[in-house]
Amino acid sequence: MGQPVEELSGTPGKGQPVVFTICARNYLPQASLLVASVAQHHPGLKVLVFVLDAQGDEAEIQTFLGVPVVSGADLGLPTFFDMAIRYDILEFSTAIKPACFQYVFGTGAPWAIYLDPDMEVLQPLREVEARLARGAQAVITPHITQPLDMQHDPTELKLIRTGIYNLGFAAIANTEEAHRFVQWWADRMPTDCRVDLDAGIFVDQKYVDLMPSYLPRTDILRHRGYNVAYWNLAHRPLHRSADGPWMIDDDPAVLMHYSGIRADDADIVSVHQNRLTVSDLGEGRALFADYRERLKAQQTALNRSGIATQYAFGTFTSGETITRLMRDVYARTVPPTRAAYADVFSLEKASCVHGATGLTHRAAHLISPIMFDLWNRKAHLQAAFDLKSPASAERFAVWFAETGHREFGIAKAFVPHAVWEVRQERKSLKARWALTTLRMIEWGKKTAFLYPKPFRRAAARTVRRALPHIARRIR
Amino acid sequence: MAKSPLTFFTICSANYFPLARTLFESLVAHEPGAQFTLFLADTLPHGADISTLPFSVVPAHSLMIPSFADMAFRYDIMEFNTAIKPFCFQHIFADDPSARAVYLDPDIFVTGRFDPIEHAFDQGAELILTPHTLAPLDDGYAPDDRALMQTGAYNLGFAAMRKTLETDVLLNWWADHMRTRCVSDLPGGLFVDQKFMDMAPAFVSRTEIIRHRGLNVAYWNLHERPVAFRDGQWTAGGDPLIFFHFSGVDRNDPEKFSKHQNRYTGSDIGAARQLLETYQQALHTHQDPSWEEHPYAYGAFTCGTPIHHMMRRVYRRVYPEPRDLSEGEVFIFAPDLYNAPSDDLLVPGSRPVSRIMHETWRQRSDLRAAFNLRREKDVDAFSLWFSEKARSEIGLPAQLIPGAKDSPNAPPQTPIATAAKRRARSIRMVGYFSAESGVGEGARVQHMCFEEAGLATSLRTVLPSGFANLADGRQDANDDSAILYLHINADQTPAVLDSLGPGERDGRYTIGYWAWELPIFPVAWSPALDRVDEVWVPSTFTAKALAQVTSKPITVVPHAIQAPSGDRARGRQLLGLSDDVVVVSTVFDTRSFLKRKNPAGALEAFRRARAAQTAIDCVLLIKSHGPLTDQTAQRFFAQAAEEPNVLVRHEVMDAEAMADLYAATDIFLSLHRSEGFGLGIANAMAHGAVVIATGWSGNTDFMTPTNSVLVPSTIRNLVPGDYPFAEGQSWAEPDIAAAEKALADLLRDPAPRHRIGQQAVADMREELSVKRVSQVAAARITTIHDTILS
Repeated sequence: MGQPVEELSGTPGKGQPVVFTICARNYLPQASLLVASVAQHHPGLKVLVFVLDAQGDEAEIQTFLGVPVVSGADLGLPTFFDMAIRYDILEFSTAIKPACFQYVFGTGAPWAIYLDPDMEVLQPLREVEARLARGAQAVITPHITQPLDMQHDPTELKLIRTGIYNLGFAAIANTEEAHRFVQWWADRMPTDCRVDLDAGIFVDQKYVDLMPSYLPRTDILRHRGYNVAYWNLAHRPLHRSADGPWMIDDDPAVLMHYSGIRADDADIVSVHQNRLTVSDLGEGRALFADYRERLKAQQTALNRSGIATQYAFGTFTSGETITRLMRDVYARTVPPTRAAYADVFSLEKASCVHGATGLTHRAAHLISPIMFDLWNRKAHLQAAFDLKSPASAERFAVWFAETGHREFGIAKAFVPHAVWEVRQERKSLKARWALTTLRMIEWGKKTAFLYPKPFRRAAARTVRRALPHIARRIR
Repeated sequence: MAKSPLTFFTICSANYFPLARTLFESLVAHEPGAQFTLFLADTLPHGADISTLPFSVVPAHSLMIPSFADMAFRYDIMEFNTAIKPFCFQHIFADDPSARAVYLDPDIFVTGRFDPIEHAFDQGAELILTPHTLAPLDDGYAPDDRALMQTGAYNLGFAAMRKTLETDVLLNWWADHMRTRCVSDLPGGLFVDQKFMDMAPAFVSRTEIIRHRGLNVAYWNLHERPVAFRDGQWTAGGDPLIFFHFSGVDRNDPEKFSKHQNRYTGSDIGAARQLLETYQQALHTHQDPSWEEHPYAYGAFTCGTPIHHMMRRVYRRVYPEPRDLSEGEVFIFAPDLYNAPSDDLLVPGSRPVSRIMHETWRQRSDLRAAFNLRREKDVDAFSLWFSEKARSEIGLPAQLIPGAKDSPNAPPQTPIATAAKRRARSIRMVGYFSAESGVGEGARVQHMCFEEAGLATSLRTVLPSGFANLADGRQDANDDSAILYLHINADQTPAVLDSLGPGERDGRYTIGYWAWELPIFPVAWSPALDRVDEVWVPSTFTAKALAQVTSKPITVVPHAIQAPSGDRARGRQLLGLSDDVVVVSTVFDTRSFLKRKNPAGALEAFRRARAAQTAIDCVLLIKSHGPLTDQTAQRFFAQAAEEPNVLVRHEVMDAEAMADLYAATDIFLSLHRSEGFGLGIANAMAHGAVVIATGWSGNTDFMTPTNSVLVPSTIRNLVPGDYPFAEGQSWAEPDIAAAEKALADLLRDPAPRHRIGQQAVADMREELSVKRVSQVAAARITTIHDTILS
């Protein structure tokens, strides 16, 4: 709209433009397809892949992808490992995005394009380049460009809550004003890159709702061929004539985003939606099928390469899975800290087992933060147990150790040691018998005066002899 | 495209008529002959003659909105005013398809021509929106960036549109949502009409997000566009000021710049203050009782019963979809709608909770915390609370309150004389004796002091939530003490006194032990003064604050500091530090306000001092606890994480561990802005640490230049978001450079550390020991008996 074309206000330096993606090792097959498609359509562009959890095997991954690889730990984030346990894989892969932009700008690139690993470039990104050349400091794409509906998932409201613009794609110029925006964005990432819709937060994406306000010359690219995915496919029918390019009506399909696709399930468009079936894709079905086939091939190739595919920040060092719940407990109780991998990921120091709950009674040590958190969330647990009463808290702890942990997929290793002892005490029949006997003896002593002396002496002798045996059964 | 003049409109109910009138007059002063329409979200007042007005008035019911009555009932007055906005745009475009329609909120004041808007239309814009702000809002005050993400990036106090294919689609879509979703539900992602318009740039390609700084200036963007008046021209951030949006303004008080924010008072908005006063003047000129006194047409049922907002919420929950009914059908008072058992809450065996009860519970966090409606016992307790308080606290009519009865208000005043008849030198203590909090600990130590003095005491434990009748734990039987001593702050005092039985409460000499950290005692707490006979305070600083508002006796009884029990070696082990590292500590609770405790100041002073003393092996220990929901806290810890040599311990420690930690501390750093007493400081001194603290407020009672280091400061006025009851208050801004220098000196030279530390230990033993404080307390109790009660 008549915006003046000005020169880029920053100092781009001498570097070349960069296209980059970010993934954990489980998404390397997707990333390899993306990298190949970028190389095909933009042979001149530099491509970089940030691998979130590369741990010393960057060289192997580089060989697999055929482009330079940077490990997340090398971005220089002071709380990197704290973020690694605070966030789940989705949150964490997005949380380093601003830092990756800063890294790329540091190489002197005049601009950088971020693409999600599950994207594929079908045509050169000419519209983006043109807008950057005309002075845009950023280019972003809205999820939808016309109303959707409130019946199917995702609804219009859900898109508003998760962010107007899809951050699977973002182009940002290396300018002073853009630096300021990216720094503001990056400042939020150590703790506020969560999926927390109630608080108005959705990873890195929701913040970009403010980009058109905070960054002048932010271009909102409404071209229908960009960022084509389940959220806008209802309005964007894919078709092609013979071996020509894929089209959406009269526009070329430029950038596909296969969000939520499953390589081994031909019957779903995306696991994140319920609006479209594969038959709704029409001709586009062939495009999706082709992607799935190539993805499968890449998965096989990755397995053959010998590169570990399991997410490095998904387990404690001793092997127990870190669940969503444990990450939540961590985020609520531990402030952002600079910590080493071994400290954060050690079960012996885990906040979800050893942290404070705020309970103060004698059974408080039996309730770990994760147990307390579960109780706070689940109405049926609150109805059954009252953790503010020590007796009920003890019952809850024993129930949790015996069966409850299974209900929530929590390993036995996360039950405090003290609970096992209590359970042992309560469980043993012999112990119960011993306790009852002890009580009877106490009661007997009070009424001993009723009996003649020889009786009392005999009884006392028996008790003296039996007592060590009884006591042994209790402990 | 045909060039047509701008068509302006606003929306308000009759009570806002003076605002609309003021808007109109300011508009025509700069855009003479401007076309202006007032859409009235109300009915016309009786006898109002709109033909004499210089603009047209269109009552909302003539907009032909399907389900109009349903909307008028579903929404409260504010929501309804915003909900009809898209329908007004459609109404204007139906009249004149070539119109360039400009919506302005009624609380807008025009000071210049709308040339940038005309220009944007000329350039082809189809929709023009103003961002709330062009620069981040993240200084710790409200609203902040997060609030904008929840309420909408663009302020819908302004919108300009012309009719095109794409704006038609947008308007239809927007209007459709406005029929049921124009509510403020931030967790649900809704904020009246405004939040939906975040989507506008996605739907309308020629949306102009206009960056002219003279448009829509208000509390949300003053930080980036200061207002000035030069050569007869108002400017904002260098651009000509076109209109100011006085959102949340108080018609009479220029000091309260806006109630929706806490960043500014009327004193720190610069030249905008003059504009604000001009605006208030104009509002007074346009007062019009015949409009203002017209009761809101959709505020009551046909029978006259006022519609409470809880009722509207119940209605929305029961009828999520629009209903095509007439006004007569919707506005009839049907108690059954609200009294029916809540559909979402079925606890087998317990008595039913009505929809309106459930809604009330949902809306109040204190009720949610106190009553778990999944438990039968709590349902009963909540039902009792509801029947007693729903009328007085919520304002619901009797038809909706099962077993309603008028609760006795205003407890009878009792003469002190009866206290004299009771057991002398005996004290009934009321406090949070079972709570792990500062006030709870204070109550326990005070109990210890009374025992030490040989005074008879009996205890009454209450729960911190203020629901004293639900308390359990330590409870002595009723007694006959002449003195009732409440170790409970002023804000909670009336509620706790109410919850005690008359036999326990009345006819005793009542003492309240109150903490307060700022120079002016909160007016909101003054009712508590009427309920006590005497106030005890921990410092002369707090005593001064109270002396301004009461003539009742005030006694300074400092917090007793128990004999130091910490062990340096254990503390070092706890921290994982060897004995030769110099430990600098700062301690706070995230609940007691980071701005006041100012750990950021301590971090900054340490950072600078260390930069100058790199050879010395030292760490800053940040010991904290409390919830981390606050963004300011999160940001502070993120900053601390970037510093080497900073050790963060964010956890609850028991008293023993805390004592060890004080013992392990060499230098205690507290660059607070104000303290009521300074318990942490006193504890550190008792353990022999050298304290560097701001030389202002409560801690100066026991800190002297020989036993500690006092940091000079300047006094600064507070703005509303700085602290609760910030109005008119001031506090100290410590000199970070001076703190840095003192810290650097002490880091370099261990000799003065030892000398000052020894003096601190001696002084604390002398002045704040349990024995010493018990003498102060006992002396006062004796005086009370000898002079007042006898």
